[in-house]
Amino acid sequence: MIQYIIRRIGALLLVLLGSTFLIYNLTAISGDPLEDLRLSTEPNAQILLQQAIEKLQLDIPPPVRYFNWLMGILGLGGAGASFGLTVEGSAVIDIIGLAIPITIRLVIISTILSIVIGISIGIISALRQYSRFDYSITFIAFLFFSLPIFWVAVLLKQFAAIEFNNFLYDPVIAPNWMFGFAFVGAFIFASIVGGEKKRFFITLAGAFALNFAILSYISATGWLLTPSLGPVMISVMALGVAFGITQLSTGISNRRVLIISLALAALTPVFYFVMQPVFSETFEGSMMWLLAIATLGVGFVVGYAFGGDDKGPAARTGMIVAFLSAGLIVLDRFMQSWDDYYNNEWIFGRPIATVGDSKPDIAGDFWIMGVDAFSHLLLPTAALMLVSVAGYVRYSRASLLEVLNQDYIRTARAKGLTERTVIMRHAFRNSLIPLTTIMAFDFAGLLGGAIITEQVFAWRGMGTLFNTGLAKFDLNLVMAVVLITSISALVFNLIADLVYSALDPRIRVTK
Amino acid sequence: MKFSRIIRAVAIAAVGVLGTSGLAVAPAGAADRTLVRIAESNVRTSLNSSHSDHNLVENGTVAYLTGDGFNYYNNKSQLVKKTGFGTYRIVKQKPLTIETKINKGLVWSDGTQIDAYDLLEGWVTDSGHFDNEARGVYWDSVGKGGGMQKITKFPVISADSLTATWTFDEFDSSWELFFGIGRPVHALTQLAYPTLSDGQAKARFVNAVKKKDWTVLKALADQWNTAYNFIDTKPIDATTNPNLLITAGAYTIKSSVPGKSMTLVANPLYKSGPKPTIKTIQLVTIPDSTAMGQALANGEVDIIAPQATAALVNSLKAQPNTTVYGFGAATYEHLDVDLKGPAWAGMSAAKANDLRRALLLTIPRQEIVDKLVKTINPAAKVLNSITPYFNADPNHAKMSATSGVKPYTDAEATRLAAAKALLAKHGYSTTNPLKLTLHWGGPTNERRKNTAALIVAAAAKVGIEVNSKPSAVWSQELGNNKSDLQFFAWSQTSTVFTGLRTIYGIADDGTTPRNSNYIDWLNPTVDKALARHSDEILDADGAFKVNQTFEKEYFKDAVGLPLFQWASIAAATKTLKNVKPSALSPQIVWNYWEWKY
Repeated sequence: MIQYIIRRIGALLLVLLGSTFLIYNLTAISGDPLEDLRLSTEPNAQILLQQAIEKLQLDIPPPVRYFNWLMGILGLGGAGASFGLTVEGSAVIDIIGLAIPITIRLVIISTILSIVIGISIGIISALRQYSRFDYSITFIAFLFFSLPIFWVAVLLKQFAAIEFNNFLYDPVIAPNWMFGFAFVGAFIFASIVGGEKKRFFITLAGAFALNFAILSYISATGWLLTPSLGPVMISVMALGVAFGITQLSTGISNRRVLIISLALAALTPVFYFVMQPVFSETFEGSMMWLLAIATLGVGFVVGYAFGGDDKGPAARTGMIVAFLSAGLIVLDRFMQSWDDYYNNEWIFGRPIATVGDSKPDIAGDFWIMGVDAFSHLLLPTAALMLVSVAGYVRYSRASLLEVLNQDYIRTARAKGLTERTVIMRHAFRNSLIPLTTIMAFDFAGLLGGAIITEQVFAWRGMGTLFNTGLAKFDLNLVMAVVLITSISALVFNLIADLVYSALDPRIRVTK
Repeated sequence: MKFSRIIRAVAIAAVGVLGTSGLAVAPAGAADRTLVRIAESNVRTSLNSSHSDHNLVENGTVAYLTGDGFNYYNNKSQLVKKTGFGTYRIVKQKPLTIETKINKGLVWSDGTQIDAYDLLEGWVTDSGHFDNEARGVYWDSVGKGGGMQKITKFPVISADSLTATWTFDEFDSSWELFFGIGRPVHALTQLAYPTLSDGQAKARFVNAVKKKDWTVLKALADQWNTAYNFIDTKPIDATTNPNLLITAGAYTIKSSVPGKSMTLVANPLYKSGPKPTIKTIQLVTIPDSTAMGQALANGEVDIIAPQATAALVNSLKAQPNTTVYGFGAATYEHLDVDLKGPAWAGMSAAKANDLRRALLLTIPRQEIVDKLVKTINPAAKVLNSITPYFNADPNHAKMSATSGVKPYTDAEATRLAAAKALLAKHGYSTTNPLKLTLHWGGPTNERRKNTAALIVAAAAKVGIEVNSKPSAVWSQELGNNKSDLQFFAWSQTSTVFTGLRTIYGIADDGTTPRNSNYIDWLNPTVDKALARHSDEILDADGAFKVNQTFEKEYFKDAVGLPLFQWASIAAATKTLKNVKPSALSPQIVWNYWEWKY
């Protein structure tokens, strides 16, 4: 095992050496950093030209300069390991240090969401193989998979930001849109539920009526300008969460766990009123961690104490239900700040942003800042996700279908296990194994995709730095980004291989 | 039957709804706004835009909005004197002696008096007289080697310290652009010596300059070179050293987020010009042009000045809340013939001249403008002056009437016939073509690519085979005489004509071309004429006469052709009034005090 890792790291270093050498030289010969000065008619252009040649070491041929750079990185130049300076003379490490958290924030959120949503849809799609839903999802997945992200971004900005913000000036949903949304939503829901033709149409009609009612309410009350869930909605949704999670976790038939979940859900409106004064304008963001842990603790204790013979599953279910129900209260609180945010002088009634990772100078409380982060993350995350979800849908569908054809699934069914147990415990878990590899590739791919996404959404992450670096022939900057992203991509691949072998005992990594 | 009736009802409802949509109404209070957000494509890097590494448009914008001075360029490229700040005049022509006078009662944003000693900063940094290699003193200024080096004596400063009299060792015609204030000298000194009071700090600076105290000068130069260059890595907030943030202009710096934005607020102590209506200006970095346009449509920024492409111009014009401003950039595309290019080697001067003329006659300038420039600026015209006087300038017509550009402005058939005759005279024809190499830059630039294609196609019609060679590193190869033709753009940063001699003049040794004379055009008449721009103070007519001499020789020797002025665009929220984009720095922000909603 250790031998394998060492071998892999050795290979990784060789790949890095080769790729950095190539990229360094290609970047160096891709243009003339002195173009502006050569075309300057200022009387002192010649002096500035000489200065620039000296500063950028342009009198040294690029392959030799590469080794100077390499020595600098390795700290062999005598001045300690360093990424060097940008063409403007700032330390590259300082600039990269500011950019990394921005890129990570963008990529992590969209990766997690893509995994959760993609795998969920993929599983449903596999369970409803060859259904209307399956065909629609397959079609949509391929469609998004083939879309260029910059184009998706431009469309998203036009419709989800510019048009939506225009719409908010007078948020009355036109009847045709209301019909459309209600129908599409209902169709998706009915397709997931499935069943005979008659059942399908009944579900469709019911869901359509419900959707239509909700949209009419939203439209008539101006809910989009002053959104909130309120204690009643929170209670209803918490009950829904309790049923749903119990079904996935242990099955509704486990009455004890169901009662525990419902009890926790019933507590939610109580906590709603308790938390309102706590969630004041002076609320500190760091408190949220404590509250999250406390919530999980409550769910665990209740589940464990009343779990009877199923202490473990009951505690697990309790934790998830408590956490999600509490999340509804927090979500509601953020919604309450929407109005303030909307009327802020820096927002000026245009809440959904197309550029930047936050509004500078907005200076609001924790809730306002949360809404601000959300309104800036929305579009870039959506753009990255649209493309990456499609992959997860396809892979998880294929993986689950393959597992469902295995002998052990037939055995499980044959011995009379419920369909829920077969799917959740035997099929789902095993279908995740091949996906670990995909996740590692996808993370690296998203880092690459972020180059375009960041540029288009004006997030100053590593992708934007790479672009600026290329445009200015700023070799140190470009190389720092290349080095960091390629190391992380290679390391993620290594981790994926190791995790794969840990998850699947049939795979060995020794030789 | 029933079903189709429902469909019909829905369709009618849908049409009715669609017909009334698209009525976006801005929230109330739009007219009371005092906030303008400007999108810029690059990040700000330093509060010292005079530093040679940080002389970027974005840094210059901050410097202009927070700075003050004797003059500025307006949107007609006129140098406007700002008498609210001070006045200047020529005391004597020989030796050139200039008197600058700063108005009484002007203060920096910390309340300290602005006086003539603050003008010393530019002299110290740009002149080179305060650099000392042995002592490690170097002011890394972009103005190095410019006209300031011609001042060697400490200026005479009046008792009220407002008037300074500067004596030049040699004449310099662009003196008007030299004098100004940047960073307050007392605050600069306090960066190096934090314990000194304002008065002591100023005195230490002045003494160090007078006596060339290298120890103090080194401490000051080190601060000047480094202390201000943190904008791309560190924020400006309550912890920033206030000495770095002292400004003289209409705005002070409130905050800055590295790589993202900078917020300026009106300076209550500013009184040298009209008080701006806009109380807050935020500069936001958006690298992508399309993203800029959409941010404007979404009301996230109020002014943009993106790289213009035809597609972007069209989409901006389609935005309902946007006004698009087209204007000519201070950059012009031109075609050069390299007189030492391989094709002309061994030819007699007269033959080479004929062939060059034939080539230039084939250049389809009108077609280039129609197909490649008018998509951005429908009013674009062929540029006929190489000085250049741009098309909007009355001097353009006056110059092209006499300069000899006429034959190149004829209709295509006439030009091609003339070119054919010239070629035939020396035995060239479509069957025995003259072979030339055309070198051009930016192979990924669509406009350049198409320009080259049009030139090649037109030349082929009369028997000139142009071998088009694009390169990403073309600018490195300027002046290496390996090609016969090049086309690229010169860009102007001021309206002084002294730069012309760098491009078309002869070096001081009398036999080699000047630095940027890449085409090796050694014409003593031209050099002598253009030298007058630097050696004399010429009025507009005098300058025109000099340029006339130059342009006549230019077209007589057939060494090149002007092609067109670059088209630029800016766009702003429709409700923001008085946005007047300008080609020369400070570009779009020059008239910030006129902006209002």
